[in-house]
Amino acid sequence: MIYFFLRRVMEAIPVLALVLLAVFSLTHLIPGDPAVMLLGPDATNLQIMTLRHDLHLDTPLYLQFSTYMLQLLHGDLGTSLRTGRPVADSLRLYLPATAELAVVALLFSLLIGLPLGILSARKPGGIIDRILQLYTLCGVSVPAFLLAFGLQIVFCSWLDWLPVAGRSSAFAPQALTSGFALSGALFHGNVSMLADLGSHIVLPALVLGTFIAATLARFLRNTMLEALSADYILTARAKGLRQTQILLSQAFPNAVGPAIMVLGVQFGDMLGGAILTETVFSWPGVGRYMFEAIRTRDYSAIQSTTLVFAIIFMIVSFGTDVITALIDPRLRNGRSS
Amino acid sequence: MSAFYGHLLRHASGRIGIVLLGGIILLISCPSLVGAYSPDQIDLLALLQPPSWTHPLGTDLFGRDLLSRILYGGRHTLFIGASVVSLAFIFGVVIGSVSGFKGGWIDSIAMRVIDAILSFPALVLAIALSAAMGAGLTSATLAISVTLTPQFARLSRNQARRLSDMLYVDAARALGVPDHTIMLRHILRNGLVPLLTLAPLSVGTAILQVASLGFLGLGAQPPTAEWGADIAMNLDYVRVAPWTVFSTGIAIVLTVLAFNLLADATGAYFSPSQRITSEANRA
Repeated sequence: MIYFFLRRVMEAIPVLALVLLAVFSLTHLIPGDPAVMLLGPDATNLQIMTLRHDLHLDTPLYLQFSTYMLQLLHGDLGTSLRTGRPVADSLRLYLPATAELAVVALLFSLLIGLPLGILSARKPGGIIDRILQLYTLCGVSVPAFLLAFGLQIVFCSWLDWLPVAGRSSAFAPQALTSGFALSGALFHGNVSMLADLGSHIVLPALVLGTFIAATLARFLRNTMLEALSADYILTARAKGLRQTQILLSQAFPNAVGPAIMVLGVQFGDMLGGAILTETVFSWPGVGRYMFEAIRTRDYSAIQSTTLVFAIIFMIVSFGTDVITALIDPRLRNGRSS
Repeated sequence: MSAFYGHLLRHASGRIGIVLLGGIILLISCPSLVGAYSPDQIDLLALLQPPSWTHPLGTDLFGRDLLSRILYGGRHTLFIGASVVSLAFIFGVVIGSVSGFKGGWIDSIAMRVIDAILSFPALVLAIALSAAMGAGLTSATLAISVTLTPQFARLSRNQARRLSDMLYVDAARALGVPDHTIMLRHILRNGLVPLLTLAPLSVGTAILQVASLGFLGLGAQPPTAEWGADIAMNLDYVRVAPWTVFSTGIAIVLTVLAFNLLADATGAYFSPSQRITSEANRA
């Protein structure tokens, strides 16, 4: 297991270096002189020269890269051109909201995906299997922002059950709405706060969760079917085990490993979807921050958010690899790509 | 190849997919069939009109006919989707077959680069690249094609590795045929068919990404008719005039659905025991 862990770390290092290089070169993709682009057409020569100096554009590339790396190591992600504040501070402010959204979305996807996958494997071609097929098809065909609008119109405009947007109602004290508000409310047992925050998180988390649930259920169904055709299932049947027992205690543990791996891959799609979903629901998270940065061409903010998303995704993939290896010893010795 | 088309027609989702896609292509190539006219004609007396006889799908915030916007926008969206996949296909096949055939350090470097691309959430990478290159259709096309390259690269690498062990490749080497000729004549030509059948299926994913970028204000710039950008434009009026957003949204869903149905049928053709949807496509 240690060997697997170390090998996985060794694999990640060159990839991380390439990711850093790619994020660094984003500024150099800006057509023409980045300083001129950033300052707009009315900039004076002095302003341009100053910004070129501030961005270290007047030094050789390898020096620029090492300066960038040094800054990163000091937790300096540059200064936002839009707000004038350090990007790292803004990200620190918005990350908890995105993290809570992601966790609730993952819970939703497990709640929908696992039962659906198991039930449709129980009777392939049956009614639940058909529903799953339709659901998966919709899951890969509907854009996240469209589903978000649909839910908003149904649950907020027509039925008026849930709040349209934001993370909490306006009357809630600011101190309780930033940071890990939901987990805070849960921890302190603050029921009214919990209900308020909960009613806000349901729709965005549902949007993100349904997409992952579709893929998860589909994948789990296939691995379950594969597991169900194995010899030990025949033995279990011969021993007289009930169908439910066979499904849950024999097939499921063997089928769930690859499904978790898929969840890790899907996490990337969820981060991308978070940008769209947070924008629609005015969720004060990193995704919305990125949207604002795109709208105002705030390059340093776009660059840093991209890096943060990539690093989170790498950590999650790493985590899922380790978890699947813990669950399934076979995967420790040779992973198939 | 004809067996493949026969299978598509026999497979239920393949049939629906073909009919749906055929209908969409027919409509966007002859918009006048359903009475669509110029997508840019502004009618300030008919802003945000609900569906009616003169405007079957209503009008948008500038009083432009939505049906016309959707049909002309569909041309852009489908064209970009196809260009994205073609570019990704070319990048992927070149990288994949060179690294699969050459092996060694070229292979290691190429595969690490592919891993690095996959380390970014696809949409985030597409956003970052197209924002850096400047908003516009060309940069969006390039950016999305980079995110789709890995799947083609990995597949064609596997093909190239499998084929370079073939006896006829050894024979060609023994005869002193130069490497690039072996790659073009033997590796590429033999490995291309499964890749070619899989390529059109990524168009659905590509269209979704194009629409998402357009929605975020990257990609097509107004007044160009494009689905994602049109949705973003009508966004502020989604509560008073939901048809503006939803008619365009349904156009996206139907088109992507058509490609995914075909992907379903193709997946069933290649692995009849496990009918995989477009998971491979998305992962």
